[in-house]
Amino acid sequence: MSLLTVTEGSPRHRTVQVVGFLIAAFVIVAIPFFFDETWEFHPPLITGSFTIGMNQILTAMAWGVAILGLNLLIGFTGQISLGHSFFVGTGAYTTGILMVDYNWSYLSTLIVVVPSCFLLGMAVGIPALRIKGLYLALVTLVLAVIFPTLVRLPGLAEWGDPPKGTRGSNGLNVDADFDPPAWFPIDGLSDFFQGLPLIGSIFGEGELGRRAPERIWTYFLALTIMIAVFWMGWNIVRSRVGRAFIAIRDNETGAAVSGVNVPLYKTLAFGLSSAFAGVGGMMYAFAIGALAPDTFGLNLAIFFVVGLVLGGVATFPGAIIGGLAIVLIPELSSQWATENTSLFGLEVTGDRPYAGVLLGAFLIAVTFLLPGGIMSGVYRLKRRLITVVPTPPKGAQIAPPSSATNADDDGSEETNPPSVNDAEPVQ
Amino acid sequence: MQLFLARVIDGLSNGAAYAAIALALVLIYKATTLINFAQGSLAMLGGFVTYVFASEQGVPIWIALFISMLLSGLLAAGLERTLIRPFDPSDHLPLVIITLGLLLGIDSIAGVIWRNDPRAFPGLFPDGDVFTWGTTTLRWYDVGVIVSVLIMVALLELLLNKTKIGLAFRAVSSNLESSRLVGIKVGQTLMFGWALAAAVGTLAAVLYISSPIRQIEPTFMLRVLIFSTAAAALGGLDSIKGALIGGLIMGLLQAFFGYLSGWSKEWSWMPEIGNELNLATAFIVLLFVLLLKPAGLFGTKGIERV
Repeated sequence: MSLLTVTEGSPRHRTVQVVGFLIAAFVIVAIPFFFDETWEFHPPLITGSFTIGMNQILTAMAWGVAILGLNLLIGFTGQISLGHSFFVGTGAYTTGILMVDYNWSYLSTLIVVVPSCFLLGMAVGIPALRIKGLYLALVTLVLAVIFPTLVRLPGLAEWGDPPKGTRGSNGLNVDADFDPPAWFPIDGLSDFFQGLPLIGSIFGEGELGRRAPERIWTYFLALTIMIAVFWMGWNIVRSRVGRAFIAIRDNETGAAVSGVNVPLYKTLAFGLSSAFAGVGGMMYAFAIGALAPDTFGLNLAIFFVVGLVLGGVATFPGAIIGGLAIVLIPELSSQWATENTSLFGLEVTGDRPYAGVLLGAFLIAVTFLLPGGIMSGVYRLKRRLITVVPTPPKGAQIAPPSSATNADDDGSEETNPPSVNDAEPVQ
Repeated sequence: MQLFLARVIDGLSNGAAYAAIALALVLIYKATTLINFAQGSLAMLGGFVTYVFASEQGVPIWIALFISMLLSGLLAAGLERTLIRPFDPSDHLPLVIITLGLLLGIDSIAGVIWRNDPRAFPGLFPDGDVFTWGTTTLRWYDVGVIVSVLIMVALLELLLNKTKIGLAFRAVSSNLESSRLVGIKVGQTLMFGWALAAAVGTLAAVLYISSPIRQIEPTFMLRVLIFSTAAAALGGLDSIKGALIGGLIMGLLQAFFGYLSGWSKEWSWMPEIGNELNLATAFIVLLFVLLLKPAGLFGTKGIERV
């Protein structure tokens, strides 16, 4: 039994929802104000001098959007792709080139990024109609491996005069800072957080806590895009299209028999998923500003799968958790390796890939222990804390809620996430 | 003509190494219809173990190779028992994720232990050339690799076709349920399949890396894995003969891609990146094979019942 039982739609239920929403909104808005003037944040309760930078948060948001795209494909349509770094890279470089060489504004690059990644994804999706399961994973894996090479192709690295292009191995630098517009109450927000009782001190002192307003504004820009993408994804999954995806995942033959145009929706899933990944890349390009070919290689593609599985397949918040995990675990482990010199008598240096060991181990451990990812654990915990009982029909006898409740959650979020282990639950 | 011949030799010797890894992939695929994404990583680890024994401990190289084949076989059998068998073999996603986790984990462990600096690998075969004709040289290494792979294929064919465990393996790969019903110990047979594949992979990695022009580093198997998967798909994922021929074809294709790019003046920009770009050959071959003839050249055609 849970601590709190509420009836769906009752004032109490509304209160719980509103309080939850307010806490979430407070944390999301407060995040950029947590960081000190060097854009670092020292997590409390962890010994040692670990720092989390604003860039890591922004990267995690970009990867979160990309993982959501991958989720549409793997989690909701049941097609395995190991090549999403290809589309993320395409989105990032398209944005980068348009902003640097053609002086487009960051937002207008979406006009090019979304359709081009969508079409590229469709183009990959069409062969995917004949190639299934493992074979598809193979083909997309190769796509991830060749992306860094493609970026270095002389024809793409530089063309025209003055030179335009991906700049090959030199990397492409995008001016990442944007001035906040006058209407944005950046000082007001800062003053508000600093004035809070008890916790006000962690937001620094003085005007904006001496932070650069451009970085705060970049965060809110990325946040807006991320929320828009998640909202779109949520609507897609709940629409006719999303139901078709889920039907294909659960039983392809059954879906076809029920009148779902399987080839169309599979290709569409690829296109949409790639478009989302492209937007993730676009966010990375304008928020981080430094693009290098090797960022978007096979490692990133595998990291996306790791993030997806860690966060929770076919869940929405899982994508954000996954994005944070694949950014923070490498960052913190490399900080740890620079600080320390030995572990169990073995030499430790900063340039060794400890993160890969950790992520690989987590990936296997989660597949075994928590097949629904971290979000399935969160939902389980939530069900312990709060039970939502559906509204009984009018005039019906109210039965006491049984202990095996069918109350999923408060209705604000998910359907039950299918676990990795049983990708074909018969509903 | 000399350059052409040099390319053919180059292609065949690379192709033999691709064929050997493709063989390892085929063995696992035959037994479990699973593509082991960690196959290259296991082979890379085997290569490093051989390196440690041969270069750091001073064990003769062939004995070092034998020890590490044994060790990687044991490791793979253990991995199969602990990480792979708990999952339903017909559901691919968790298995893909596990082998991806292994790929990431093993590659990173090797990176943590040996770092990413290249080291010289002791040669398996005598240095020097069998003959030289202008720019064409046939090294003892090329002969050694090709002969070793041919012997390996012959031994595998014997093992699978003439021994009891080979019979059990073929039974499991043709029908898991029925072989369990007739009393074959399916679990042990699958473990044997994984061990065999890992040993073959280790041999392949050592053959590939013992080339005088190559050095060992934790990422060296990635390229090989890409070509080998293309080779395995080309030959048919469940055919040993197909893996051999597919590997040789991939080696030759890769070599001629380089040959063409050196030969054509219009493609003068290619040589600097040609070596990298020929990964694209693997991609194109893989895509076309899977689109046009998914069973590959020698594979069993799948029949889908609804």
